[in-house]
Amino acid sequence: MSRFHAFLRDGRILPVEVIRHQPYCDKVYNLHVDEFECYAVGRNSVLVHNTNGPSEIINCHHQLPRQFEALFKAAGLEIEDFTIDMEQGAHRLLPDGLHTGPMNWNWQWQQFFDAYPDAGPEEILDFLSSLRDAFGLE
Amino acid sequence: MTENEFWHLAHPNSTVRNAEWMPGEIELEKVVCPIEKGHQRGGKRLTNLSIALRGGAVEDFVWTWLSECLLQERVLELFRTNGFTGFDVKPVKAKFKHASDHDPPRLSELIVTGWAGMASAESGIKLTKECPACGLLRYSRCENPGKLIDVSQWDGSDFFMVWPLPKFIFVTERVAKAIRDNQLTGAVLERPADLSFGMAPGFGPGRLSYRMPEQRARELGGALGID
Repeated sequence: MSRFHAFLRDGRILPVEVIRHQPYCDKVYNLHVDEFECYAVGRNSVLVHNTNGPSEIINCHHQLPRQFEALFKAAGLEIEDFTIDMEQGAHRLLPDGLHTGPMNWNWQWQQFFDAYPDAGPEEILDFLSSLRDAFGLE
Repeated sequence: MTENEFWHLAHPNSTVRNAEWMPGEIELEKVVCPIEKGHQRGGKRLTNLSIALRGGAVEDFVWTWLSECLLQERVLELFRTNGFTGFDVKPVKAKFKHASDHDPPRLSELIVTGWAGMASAESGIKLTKECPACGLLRYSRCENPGKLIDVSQWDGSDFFMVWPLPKFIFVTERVAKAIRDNQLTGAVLERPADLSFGMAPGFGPGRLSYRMPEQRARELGGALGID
């Protein structure tokens, strides 16, 4: 039984049969895919990302997402005043990142503004507080 | 006509394809209350949309993060040839967020002008706050989405809005059928009874004139004090 599994873009999960190390010496790049982070490679569209699980990579999480900046600004809130540092896995990577999955952090904000397109500062901060609780952010 | 014959036209659950407002290209009115600082908020969008699209194939319906609904040309054409009522469109300036080897499609913003009045009392939605100085309106949460639409207030339009949910697009079965028959992509149809409002504690809809042409907003909302 394989210890490792590969996630495919079509939803299948397949066991990894063999891992081969291939020495390579040249410049390499850490590919960052905006928002989703994961991308599909190869004929089988295997989902990959640049790191997995606990890492030393720290991301800046905008608790008031940039996508709604105009609404926050109109309510007198600056998104840069509401950032926290998060380990990358907990921030953006599958399976548990704040920005992964169908009901992720930004999706929650979209739902909120669907109901409250003219939210004021207190309502926005109250919602942020609820969201922090729901996502287990201290 | 019963509520069971209406649909909510919604953005997909995934946000991966959402388009973003182009920074600095869209002007949003800022509402400042002369008596209550906490009422400061965004108001009417004063400019047409200018957006950045995700790469790859663009779906028939495109949604922004602020849930504005954008239509590709073929969708607009389909709606017009079917004679659907209760909507208007505004032009959209679109570009791809990242370099692309093809041009972005022509998109139009769907503006709903059809009307089904106030949410029915049975929905549980009630006005909870009204500021006479700045026009802020607050409503309680919806306890019964299946009773949201009061058919007696519906003006017969194929696309329509129910107050205080101006960001929710309701459509008739005719529209839903056209979307299904033509396999249009990028939107979902759900029954009003299945509506979910996430963790929002109620509704803060703004004013009707933020979402509809001024004249139409006055006609519909003037007497109700929501224009």
